[in-house]
Amino acid sequence: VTFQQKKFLEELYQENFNRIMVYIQVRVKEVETAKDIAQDTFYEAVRQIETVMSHEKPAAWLTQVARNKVCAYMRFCQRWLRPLLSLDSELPEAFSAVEEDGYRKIDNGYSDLAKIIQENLTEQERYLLKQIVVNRVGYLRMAKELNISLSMVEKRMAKIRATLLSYYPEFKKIN
Amino acid sequence: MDQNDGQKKYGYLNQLSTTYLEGILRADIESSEGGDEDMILYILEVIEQRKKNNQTGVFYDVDEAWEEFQDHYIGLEAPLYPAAISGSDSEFDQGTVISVSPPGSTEVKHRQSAPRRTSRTFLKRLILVAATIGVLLAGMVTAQAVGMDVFGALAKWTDEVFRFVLPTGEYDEQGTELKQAAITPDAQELHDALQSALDECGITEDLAPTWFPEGCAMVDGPEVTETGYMWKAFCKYLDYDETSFVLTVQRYDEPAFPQLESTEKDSSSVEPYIANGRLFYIMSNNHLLNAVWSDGQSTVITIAGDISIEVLKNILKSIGE
Repeated sequence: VTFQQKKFLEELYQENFNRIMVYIQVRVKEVETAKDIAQDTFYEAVRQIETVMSHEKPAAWLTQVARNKVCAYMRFCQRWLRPLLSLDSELPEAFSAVEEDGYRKIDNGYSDLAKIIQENLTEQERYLLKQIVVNRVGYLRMAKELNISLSMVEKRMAKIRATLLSYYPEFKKIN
Repeated sequence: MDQNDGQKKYGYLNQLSTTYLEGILRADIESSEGGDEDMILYILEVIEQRKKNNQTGVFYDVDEAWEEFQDHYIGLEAPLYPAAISGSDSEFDQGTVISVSPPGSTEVKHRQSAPRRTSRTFLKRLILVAATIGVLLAGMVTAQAVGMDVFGALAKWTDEVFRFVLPTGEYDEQGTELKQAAITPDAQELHDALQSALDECGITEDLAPTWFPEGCAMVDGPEVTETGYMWKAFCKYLDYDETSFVLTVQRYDEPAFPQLESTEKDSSSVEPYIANGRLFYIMSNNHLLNAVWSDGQSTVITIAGDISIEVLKNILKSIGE
């Protein structure tokens, strides 16, 4: 990032951070997570700085990116919330509906997804996923809690996503 | 968009509550295509300003956030919330594939696997209703001062199309009020036939004309149709000169729908014409004359045909006398 780009970025940030927060928080009420998504939105601006700088309306670019991130986040949470909750459930139906190799199919229940989580993620990974999806904890807070860098949290989550998606090419295909 | 342009175009949004504005933002997020980006930016500015003034919500310390951004986020190797994710396991995300690329970017495509009419329509409705509320609050005094029907919708047009739009609070005062002649028995019969059709559509207001050209007869209708979101009463008339015209009255189930419809026109100018407190717009389309009026809520009257402007105005004057 050149000096000129950084100056542009800082001005963009100063002018738009609160607006992006307003936008994100209409869907994501948890402040820390909303902040995380807002920061990640500006991180995308860093990654695509030339595109943003040449864009007719950089603020509109930011809101579009924020919108896409919020949608993706909500989808991710919605997809994995019930399976994660069912892991904590003592109800016998949690796994009862699964056929021998049925967990490779998407059915109307959540037991197959729960089984994938249970069998393929480590306890630490399950905890991280649960914090993100169920308790809606932001990545930065998780980094502080686990005493690791934010980048490390991102890598762990990327690994978790990859693991989960490997069992569901249906999800991967449309990524 | 220039700040003054935004103020002029979207100033009515200032009249709405933060909750309502947030509802528009929420609908925008859930819409696959999003709404009017300038309007979204304007809403964000309005809410931000309110937060800044401690009227509502929390205003975040940007310097602190910027510092945090530089300390933790700017050095990431990949996004925390990758947006190129889609699913189909919930009502929220059905049919849409999201990428991080906004309009204008050539790097990543934003594609849509299936239209999400419901959320888009809801967003449109929300925006239009918001504008209507805002204008009614802001423009009522002005409108009444110039003797206008404050609930009459304003309109915009190009060389090819006419459409009712949200009022801006500024009104053209063209048009005249004229007294109507006595109602003839034939005209009364034509009036009653149409008015009974309007009753069927649930329109209780007297919107059928009481003046028709001499020797005019109804050659088609009254026909009442219902399309799921709109009731329509249609009549076709023919007079001695073998000139014909059709009269259509539409009643929409939702207040914002009239603004979603458009009327074809040619490149000639549009004449605003006031009759009995209603602001009609008269325009031509391929040598036919069109007159349209909307209450800005749910009702639209359209009269179209190869009739003279004098005849057309006489009909308009006789509506709801």
